[in-house]
Amino acid sequence: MSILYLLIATGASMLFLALVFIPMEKVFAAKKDQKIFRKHWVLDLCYFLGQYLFWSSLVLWVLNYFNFWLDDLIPQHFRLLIQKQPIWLQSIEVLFVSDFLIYWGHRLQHKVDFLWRFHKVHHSAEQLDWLAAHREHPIDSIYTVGLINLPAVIMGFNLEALAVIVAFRGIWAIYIHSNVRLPIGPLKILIGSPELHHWHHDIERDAGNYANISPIMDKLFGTYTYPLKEPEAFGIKEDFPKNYAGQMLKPVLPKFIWQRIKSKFKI
Amino acid sequence: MKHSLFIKGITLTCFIALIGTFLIYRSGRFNSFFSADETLIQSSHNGGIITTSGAVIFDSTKTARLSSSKSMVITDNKLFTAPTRSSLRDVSPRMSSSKSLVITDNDPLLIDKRKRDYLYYAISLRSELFQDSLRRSANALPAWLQFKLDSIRLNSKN
Repeated sequence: MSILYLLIATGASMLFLALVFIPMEKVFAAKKDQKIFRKHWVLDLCYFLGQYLFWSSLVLWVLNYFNFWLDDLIPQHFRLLIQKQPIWLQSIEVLFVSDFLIYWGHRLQHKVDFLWRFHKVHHSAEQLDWLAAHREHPIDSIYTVGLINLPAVIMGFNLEALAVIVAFRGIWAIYIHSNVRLPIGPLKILIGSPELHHWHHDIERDAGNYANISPIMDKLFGTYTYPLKEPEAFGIKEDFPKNYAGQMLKPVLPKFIWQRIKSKFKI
Repeated sequence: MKHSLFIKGITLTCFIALIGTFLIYRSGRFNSFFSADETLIQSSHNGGIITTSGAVIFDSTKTARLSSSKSMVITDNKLFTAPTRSSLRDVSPRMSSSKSLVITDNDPLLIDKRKRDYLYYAISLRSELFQDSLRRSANALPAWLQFKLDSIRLNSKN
């Protein structure tokens, strides 16, 4: 695949997402005074481009690498049994198991300091929209994507048959970060929405709503929260760099090295 | 700014339509638009796709894995070539036990673990002579063992 093709695909993805989400953010705005080109939008654009042009390939490569070692965890005949099931049943199973894993994986990201140091990059966004959804450290991506894909990979769910589910999960993850408030009535029990996830991005580190697609896990494990208003402020309370290089480097470096780099390069 | 019900309705309809179109695209329904010439493509009996003229096939369902938890994959943007089972073994030929017998000098002994129940050893051997002697020896074996050996594939790569 040529670099030109990759650039075109990234441009097409961005154009499509802008077409899908910007009108929604204008008409159904959660924070009405938030602009499209708001504070730190360039930083989030760097994340978007970094993810599509470079990091996503690296993440896929790492996952494929570990697939090889995970292959023998589940007996082959068990995988065949799963693949013989109807696609609708596989879809429900993969959604449920992935959501269960990502729920607990996500709670750990907030509880365990080592995981939080990468995950707080995502939470450092002070204004949420479809572009801010892409603010994610690549190591955090490997962890999250690994968990989401784990059941499909080791249990042998038919990934190509489940392509629609995978695509829906991806686009919905962007939607729940968008600056939209659109109540969906009783469906809110089954499917996550921006107003729920916005509370997850509240400035408090343990604000709840950890589930990815469906809030069922939050209901089950007592972390569901749904106040009728928007949170006052997003972001984190800690001192954190406001530029791409700083946010990429700080989580991976020991504190004393980070301090030296910070003072030398002023990042 | 207040928006009329009409504007809200149109926006919501466009939003649902665009997401729906994307999902249909990812389900592979539009793949025929991206292939070079559909008449040159036929499906094999095991579900694979055979190209008869080297036509490039774009399959939107192939990247059925999220590259990010917030990804919207339009294309399979792989800059890195994912390692295959054989390439991993090529890098590090390991002895399976202290009593293992390495048959060849250069070529790796490829063992497909998924099919080990069927004694499916794909042995790559350089020597035609060795293959012939193996076949002759096999003829002298009992029928049940010959049956087992039928699943041994000799693949000479020169």
